[in-house]
Amino acid sequence: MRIIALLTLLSPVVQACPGLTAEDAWIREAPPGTSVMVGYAQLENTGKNPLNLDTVSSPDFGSVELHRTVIENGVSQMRRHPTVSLPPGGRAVLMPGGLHFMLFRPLRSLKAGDTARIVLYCGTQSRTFSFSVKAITP
Amino acid sequence: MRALKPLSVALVALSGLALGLWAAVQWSTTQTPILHSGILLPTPRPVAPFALTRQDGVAFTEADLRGHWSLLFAGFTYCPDVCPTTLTVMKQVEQGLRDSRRALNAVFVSVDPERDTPEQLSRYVRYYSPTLTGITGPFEQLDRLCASLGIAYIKVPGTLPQNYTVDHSAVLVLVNPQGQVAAYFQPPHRVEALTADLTQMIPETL
Ligand SMILES: [Cu+2]
Repeated sequence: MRIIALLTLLSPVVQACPGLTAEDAWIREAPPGTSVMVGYAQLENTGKNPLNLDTVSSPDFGSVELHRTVIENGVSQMRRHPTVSLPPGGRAVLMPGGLHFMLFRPLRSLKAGDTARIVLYCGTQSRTFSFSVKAITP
Repeated sequence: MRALKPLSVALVALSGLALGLWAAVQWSTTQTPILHSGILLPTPRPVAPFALTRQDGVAFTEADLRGHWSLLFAGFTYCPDVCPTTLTVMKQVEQGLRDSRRALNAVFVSVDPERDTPEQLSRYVRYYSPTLTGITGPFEQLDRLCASLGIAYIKVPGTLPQNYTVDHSAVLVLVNPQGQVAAYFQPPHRVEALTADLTQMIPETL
């Protein structure tokens, strides 16, 4: 254990999911008692290698899923979205009425002004982003 | 000159036709509003009897749709993406109409009575607007109202039993003071377009 810890200290910092950025990362404040929330962000791959985001988790929620809302024949449907593929320079905009992080069972009360962490996985690596809770609705 | 004669006859006939068309358009615009974000029913359709319950436990039936204009939206409180956006639009439209002395009763119909208890529905509608009414009840009664409104909904399983979702019509339904479906508004819902359309239909009463 000690050797591993030492090696970790000595090795250069590995950038997990290199080049992955999340801007305007926010979570919509939900009415009290609601056990499902939603998060949005503009994801970008500023790195040189493609990134495939297929798993999401959070220490602040029971579970997180990547979802997409579609309106088909006037009917609004929410479905799991398997992967967000970001080629180098690629962007994905998660926004109301489209792609979103579905946040099940908040583990603490989250009000406007709070922040929560969302972990995005690209293969075996992951990167944690801070999302601010906002009451705004477009 | 002689060659022009048939042309001038035609011109007179054409201008007569144009005048007729203009008069017809004038007549129809004063009689029927032209909606920009919705579809007006040529013949309003009555809402059949139903018995649901408001978020405060008070009964809500087809009689509660009479005597005022109502705008109804079907959804569920475990819908964090589309429903909050639509309810916020409805609230802003209702406020805008109130500013021009027009009354509109905004109604949220929960099509998920299994999770949306009156307490949950009450917390939810109060959060979005103090003037929003939330209603729900047994599926059999919801189906009656939804059939009248032309609203479809279906439960879709999620990754966990409690994570199911409900597909539902994203339409807004306008009911007139006679308790009849008068118009439909299709998404995406925009505050300005909806307010302009409803301003044409709802008279000043406040
Ligand atoms: Cu979702």
